[in-house]
Amino acid sequence: MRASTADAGKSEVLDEVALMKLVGGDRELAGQLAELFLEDLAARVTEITAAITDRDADRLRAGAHALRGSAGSLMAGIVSAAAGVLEAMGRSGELGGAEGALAELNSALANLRPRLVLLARRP
Amino acid sequence: MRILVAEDDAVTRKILAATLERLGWEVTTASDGSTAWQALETLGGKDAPELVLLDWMMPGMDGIEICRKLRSTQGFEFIYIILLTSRSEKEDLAMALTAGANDYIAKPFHPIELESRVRVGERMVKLQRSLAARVAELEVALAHVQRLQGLLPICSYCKKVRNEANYWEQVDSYLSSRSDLDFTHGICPQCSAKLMKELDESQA
Repeated sequence: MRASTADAGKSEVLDEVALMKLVGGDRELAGQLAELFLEDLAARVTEITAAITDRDADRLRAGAHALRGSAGSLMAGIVSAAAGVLEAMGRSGELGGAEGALAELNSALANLRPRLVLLARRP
Repeated sequence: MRILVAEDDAVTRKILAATLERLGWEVTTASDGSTAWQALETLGGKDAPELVLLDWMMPGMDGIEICRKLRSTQGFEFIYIILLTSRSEKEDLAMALTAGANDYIAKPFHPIELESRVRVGERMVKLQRSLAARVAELEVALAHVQRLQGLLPICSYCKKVRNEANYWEQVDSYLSSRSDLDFTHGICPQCSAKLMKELDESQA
């Protein structure tokens, strides 16, 4: 069975316990990771949204894959899962429910953002 | 051990680098495949990384392509390659290993798994290094000791031997130049008696 940190936080906005384990208890590093994620976030969401508008499945797959990986590394399970749904749509080329999945992603991000802002500011 | 981490996602790259550095390894990073390849070419030789962690999906050049290039480029054949992937299909993993990866880690990774797999790589790198050193030692030894084998023509009277260049050579110089043998020259009792007899006769 795969170890728990990788699986941790799949149903959580941000699994800070798992994240702290991942960074070896280094709070400063955790804050830097939150900052890095937030820096890239707007461009990533714009890319995914544009790919859905343009019905560009490959672009959607690549954009959602990047966000899924980044959120997964940060132990942001719900965002990672929501991005995974869009990635799967991009891979299959079936973009029928993409707008709904994008709304799910944006909702998950709305919950994640303030948590990350706090984490980034925490001394 | 020197490690190159090639990962386009800044968050994952930073976690990987921080984790590996915390464990005492020397880490350099690249944010895409082309930069990773350039870094490998630039750092070639003695400073080249001994282990690379490659993300499968990267802009520029993906992890699989870098694996193939490393395995077909002289000097990089023995780099230990770990592929990072969120793919889990058996066909994908088979493709990664066929392309030349030694191992793979599923993303999101667990730090203990990362450490364990990198330590396996480190053991392989050390083994490879010690084998290479042993081979180099043997090559030096072989260069000093040319093999003596086959039929050696020797003159029945003066006991010179015919060397590879077809010259007749004293047997002691022949053996000295092809082995670690050193000769001390003396006179055996029979020759000594014969010599003394000749001297006596010449003085008489």
